[in-house]
Amino acid sequence: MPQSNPILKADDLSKRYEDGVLALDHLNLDVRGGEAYCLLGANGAGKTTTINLFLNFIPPTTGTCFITGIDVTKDPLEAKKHVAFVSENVMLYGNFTARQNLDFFAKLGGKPDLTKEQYYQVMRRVSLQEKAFEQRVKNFSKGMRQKLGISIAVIKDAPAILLDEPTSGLDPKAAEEFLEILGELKKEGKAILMSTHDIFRAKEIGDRIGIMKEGRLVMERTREQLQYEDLVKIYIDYMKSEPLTA
Amino acid sequence: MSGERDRDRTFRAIFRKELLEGFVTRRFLAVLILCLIVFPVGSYMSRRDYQSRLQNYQEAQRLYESTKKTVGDVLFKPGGAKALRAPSSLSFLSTGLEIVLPDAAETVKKFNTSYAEMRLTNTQGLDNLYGFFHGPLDFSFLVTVVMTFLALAFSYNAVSGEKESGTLGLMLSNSVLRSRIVTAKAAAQFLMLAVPFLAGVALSLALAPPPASAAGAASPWPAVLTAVAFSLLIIAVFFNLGLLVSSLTRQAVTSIVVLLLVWTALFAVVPRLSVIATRLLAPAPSEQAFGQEKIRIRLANEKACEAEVDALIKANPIPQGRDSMGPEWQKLTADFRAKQDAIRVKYQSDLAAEIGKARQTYERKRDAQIKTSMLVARVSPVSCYVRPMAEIAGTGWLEYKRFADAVDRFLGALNDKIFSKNRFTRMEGGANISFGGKANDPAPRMPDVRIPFGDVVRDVLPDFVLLLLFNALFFAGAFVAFLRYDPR
Amino acid sequence: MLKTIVKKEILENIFSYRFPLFALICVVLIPLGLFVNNAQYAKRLKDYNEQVRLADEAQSGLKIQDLMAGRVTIKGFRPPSQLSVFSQGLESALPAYYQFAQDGFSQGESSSSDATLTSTQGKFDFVFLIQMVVSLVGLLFASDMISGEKESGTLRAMLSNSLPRDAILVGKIAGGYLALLAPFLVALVLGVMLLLPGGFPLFAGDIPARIAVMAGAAALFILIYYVIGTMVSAMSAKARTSLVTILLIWSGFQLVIPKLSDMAAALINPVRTDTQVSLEKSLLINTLETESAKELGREYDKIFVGKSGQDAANDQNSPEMKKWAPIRDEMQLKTRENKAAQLAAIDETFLAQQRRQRKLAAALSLISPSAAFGRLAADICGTGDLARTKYIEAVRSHQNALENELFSKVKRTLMMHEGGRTTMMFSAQPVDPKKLPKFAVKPASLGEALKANAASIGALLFWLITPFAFAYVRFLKYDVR
Repeated sequence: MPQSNPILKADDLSKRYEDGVLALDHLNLDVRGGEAYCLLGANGAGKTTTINLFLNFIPPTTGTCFITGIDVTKDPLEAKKHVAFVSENVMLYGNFTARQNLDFFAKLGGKPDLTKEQYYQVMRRVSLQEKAFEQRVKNFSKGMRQKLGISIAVIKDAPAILLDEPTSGLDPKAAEEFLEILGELKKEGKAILMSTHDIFRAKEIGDRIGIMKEGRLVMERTREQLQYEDLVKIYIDYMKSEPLTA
Repeated sequence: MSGERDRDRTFRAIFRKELLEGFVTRRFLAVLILCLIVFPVGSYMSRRDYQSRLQNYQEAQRLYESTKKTVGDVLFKPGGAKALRAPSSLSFLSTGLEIVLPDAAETVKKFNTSYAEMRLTNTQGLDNLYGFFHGPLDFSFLVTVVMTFLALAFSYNAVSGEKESGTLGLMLSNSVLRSRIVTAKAAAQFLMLAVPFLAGVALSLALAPPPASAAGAASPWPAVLTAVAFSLLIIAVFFNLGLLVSSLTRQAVTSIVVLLLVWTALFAVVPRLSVIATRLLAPAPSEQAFGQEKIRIRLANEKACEAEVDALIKANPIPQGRDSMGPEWQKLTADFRAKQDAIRVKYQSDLAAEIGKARQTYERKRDAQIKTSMLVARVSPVSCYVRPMAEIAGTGWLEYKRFADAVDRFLGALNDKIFSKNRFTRMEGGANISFGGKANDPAPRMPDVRIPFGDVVRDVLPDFVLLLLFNALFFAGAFVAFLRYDPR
Repeated sequence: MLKTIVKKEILENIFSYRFPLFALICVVLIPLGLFVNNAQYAKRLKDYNEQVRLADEAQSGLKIQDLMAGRVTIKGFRPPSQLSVFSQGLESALPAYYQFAQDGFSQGESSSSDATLTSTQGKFDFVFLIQMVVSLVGLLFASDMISGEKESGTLRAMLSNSLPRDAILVGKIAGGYLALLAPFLVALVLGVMLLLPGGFPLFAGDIPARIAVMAGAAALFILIYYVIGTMVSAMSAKARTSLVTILLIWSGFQLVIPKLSDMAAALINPVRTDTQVSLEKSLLINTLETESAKELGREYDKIFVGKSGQDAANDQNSPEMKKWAPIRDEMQLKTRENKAAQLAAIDETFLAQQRRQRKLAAALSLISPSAAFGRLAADICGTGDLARTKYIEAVRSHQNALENELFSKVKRTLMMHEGGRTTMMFSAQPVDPKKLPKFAVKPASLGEALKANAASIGALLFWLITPFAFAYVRFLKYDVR
């Protein structure tokens, strides 16, 4: 069930790059525990920039990001203790096995004392095949790598999870399995912020959906509202309409 | 045939694309600027270095000639006769062995002999110790380091890079022969490498034309052109090597790591290992060991000779004092002298024979070692370039032999005209040294002999052919590998 | 946290192709190089012992007539340096011996007259391997340390955790370097052990200390190149750019700068050759002796006149002889002193020129850490510039000793008389050739070597700290996306 205080909060967030491009224009959003927020938008709309700002990979021009109430720019190290990240192309360390990768990131994420069995458990939970546990990651398919990526997020057990286009390039079955896991995590009370192109999956998992266009959050709908509106039509209409920047 | 025309068209299209890519990415410009700077600067520095060495040589020669004009000068003044080797005028092409080749030979003679020997010395290494430490910066070096690196940089991602960016797959989804692709790529890339190189060389030659060697010598241009031809070949070898490795690896990063390691092996490790192998395969006594052998022979000979002279002296007591200076005394003295002369001449010819034999053995082994080392080193194409360049520049083994031969001839003339006329006679209570020659005659001069360029060509021809073969081998390998390369 | 990253880095290197490749290169080449150089050293030692024996034999057979005829040359040989197995340095360039004669000393052949064709290519020592091969490998491995992780996205994954950036940088450098250091040390130990059966005196004198310092310097050198590689990686976004940059840096440091610095020094501060100087000296000696002979002849003729003069000349106790002796002695002393002074002046100028050039070359070459390391290593092993200095010192002092013990015992008086007649008179004191001082070179101590290389050590430290600082600063701002 959604909780009261937002775990992820973007407060009037803007980002203008050195070359003058305004990638994000006064973004305001919040995500509560137990809630999944999906950011939809075309390429270059600002979804990845938003995630990069939450992770303090780039500094904001104006505005602030908060993770569990901690200002990401002022205290990044503390903030990062409370967030897990799954990137679009999970490459990891090719010469390590799945378990070795998991072990390394678990330690970085503040969980140094886990046993092999615990790692196996997590990997089973994300439906990674048993025989892949001790295989080198460089031979994994994309689906397997994404699963490993989410298992890293699971094992960190952080209250917030950021995902950047996690289902892109996955076959329908793998994407379904992935979303099932997200659903479970949501039930456990995690706040999930996910950027995606995938309208259908966004509708399935998202409690709220935001559409971004040219750096601005132009529309927000809750799941209830979407029951009566055709998300696809809304999305495409917005994409087709005139550019916003004057 | 339209098929033929299509194929030509695709070849031209790929060729042009490669050239355009080179211009647009400014690769070509960067290499051109680099060559236009590096070669003239390198040439300038080598030239200055040569000038200073030439000056040193000329001054030394002048000093020598001003003090040793006559036979008497050579015999009586300290230092004996000297032969100096002029620095090679083409040493800017390759310093080669210049630093370790003997640059002077001086006579070594004991007062009680009628002959002298020549001792070859090298003081250049000692004058320029750190040049020895680090090695010289000459044209040959610039080619083997700068140009080969550039060749690798041009070819290392020729294939693997296109695969990584996906354009190879795209090219091959068209109706185009793989053989055309690889030849067009190779031709274009090599052209973009060779043109700046030739431009840099032309500029450096224009700014500082090769110095004419000593009076009466041939033009330096055949040597320079041969050197440029060799240089193009070695650049091509590394280019094709890069192409080969690129066609065998999946990632550009892997190509370059492999190539750098191969380069280091070929440039540095293999030549040195071949030295070690040579010493094992064809051992030869060191020059010092030979020197020691000569000393041993000489000591033994001298001891035996003086022992016989001692016996002669004991057997022929010559009355001393003025009262016995009659014709009788003179005849005794003359007899005695003649006998002693005969002994000394006998031992001298014995000595010459023994040393000659030892020298033959030594030189045979040494020459065998040199030949073996040349053969073994040819495993690395770099050696097939570096050694011939030294020979072309007159700083190689041929130069050593030339100087040694000229010194031998000089020594022969000195012994004939000067030292053999020196008579040493030992008697009871003293010794007598007399000189039977003409002290005021001009002293013999060191003959000026040049290596005919034909000899050089004959010497370097096998390496030239080998470089062509290396090129063919690497390109063929790249060709075949590309025909089966997986573009996915 | 740091330990985690270090451990990960070590494991990553071991599982990739790098560690086995590097280990193979080290374990094969380093012991091989040491073994081969030791064989060469043994040969040179044998040659040296034989030459000393022969020279001693010749010297003990020295007769007074040789001295009188002025044709004595005594040779002093330089023993090969034990540690030349690690660094050949100037070992084969230095003269094998010096000759001492009444007129002064001169160089013998350099030991490089052996193996002419092979000598310029022949250096295959430990220092060469470190400078040329290990450094390149270290640079390569470090080159995609950062840009590679960025390209594969693992850098982002690491940074999405609570992990300060400097910990990542230090951890990566430490881990990667340790993965390189281990095979290097193993190869070194293996190589040294291979030397033991051949009689290498591993525990004699200060040899263990020197080897330890050598190993330390090499380890520092490898770290420097690793850090430089990391710096390049932190400054470029793509692994490919890093590699090309590294190629340029490596060839610049290794090959171009040392040569350029030598050439530049030779051009800026040219030095006359040894041949020229010795010719000039013999010209001077010749002139002085001729002058002195003429003067002596004149004074002699003034005193010993006519036939009675000739008789008096043969009588040691005649009044003319008593008058002549002190004049002759004084004139000869003056000539000797004059000669010594002028020769010393020529020497000083020459030495000063050489010193200037060498100092400049040394200073310029510090621009390259490789050159700095090379000089330091050579001096530690007794085959560097310091060895040359010590050699010359020994030569000078031996010449002085021989002057006192031998050459001054024979006085040759050459006189040129009016009318062209030349006479030569001798007076000799007895000399026991077996009692002559022996030539010995006092090698520089390890402390002296380190002191003399303070600049090189400083340069190496500079090349460690500066790239690290750069890498640090760049990495803190590195764009991980």
